[in-house]
Amino acid sequence: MNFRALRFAAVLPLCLLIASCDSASGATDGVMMRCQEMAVRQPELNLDPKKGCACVGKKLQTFLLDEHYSLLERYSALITQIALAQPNLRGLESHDRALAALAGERGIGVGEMNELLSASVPFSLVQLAEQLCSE
Amino acid sequence: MHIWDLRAAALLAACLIFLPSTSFAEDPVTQGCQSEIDDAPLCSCAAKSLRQFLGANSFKRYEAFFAIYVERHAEQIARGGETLSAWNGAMGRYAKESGEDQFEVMDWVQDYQYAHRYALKACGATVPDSDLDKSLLFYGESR
Repeated sequence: MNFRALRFAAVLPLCLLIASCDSASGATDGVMMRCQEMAVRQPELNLDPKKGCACVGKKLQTFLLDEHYSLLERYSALITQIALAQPNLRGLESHDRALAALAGERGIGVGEMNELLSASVPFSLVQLAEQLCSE
Repeated sequence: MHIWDLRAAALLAACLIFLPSTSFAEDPVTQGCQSEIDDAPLCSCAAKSLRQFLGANSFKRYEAFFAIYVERHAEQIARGGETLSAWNGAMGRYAKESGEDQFEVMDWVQDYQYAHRYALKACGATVPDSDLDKSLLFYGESR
């Protein structure tokens, strides 16, 4: 094996490792996006947008039931999209719109969606995860 | 008998003595849960999941609180007292022993208890409405 091949062989596992770590942290999912947006907007949370949010995503993903995490993931993606598109909206308004969009996707009423979401994803757990992952 | 055989025999004996007690030893969180819910696998599943969620340091803190609670709970039950006073008393004693502010202790115990409740449900616990008020782990649960 020549020197170039050796270098390639050494770099390849490293790249694979980084790629797998990145996907394990849920880097592209809605929970991560929402967390990063919150971390930047609310510095008092003391959350590092990269490390802290990867920690939050990982904690919630391993702790919540799969169907609950999927619901949180979709809700988070929607509320992030809404908040980024209309930065002047208040938090509660963004929540209402995300809830309405989620209810529309699932073909159920907004009230029912609200109950389903709060029953399956207790927001105090999300806050606790943020707290545990803060610096 | 050769010296190595003796050593091996001593090691095996030590393993036989210590292994069963360590592998079946329950953490205080599992023990405390079992004082309310008589289901060892369920309580153990919830504690395992909670440990992963809270992380080692925070779980250790919850364990230290639960160790006091388990002790006080046994005393209270023996005296015909209530579970809730054992819980409140445990928070007070933990705050005193750790030097943490009592209100801070109340805050994090409530947060961790909430997560514990989720873990129990995720592990398959079902608590009938009639028992919600009696259960500390499910205390304050909305119907």
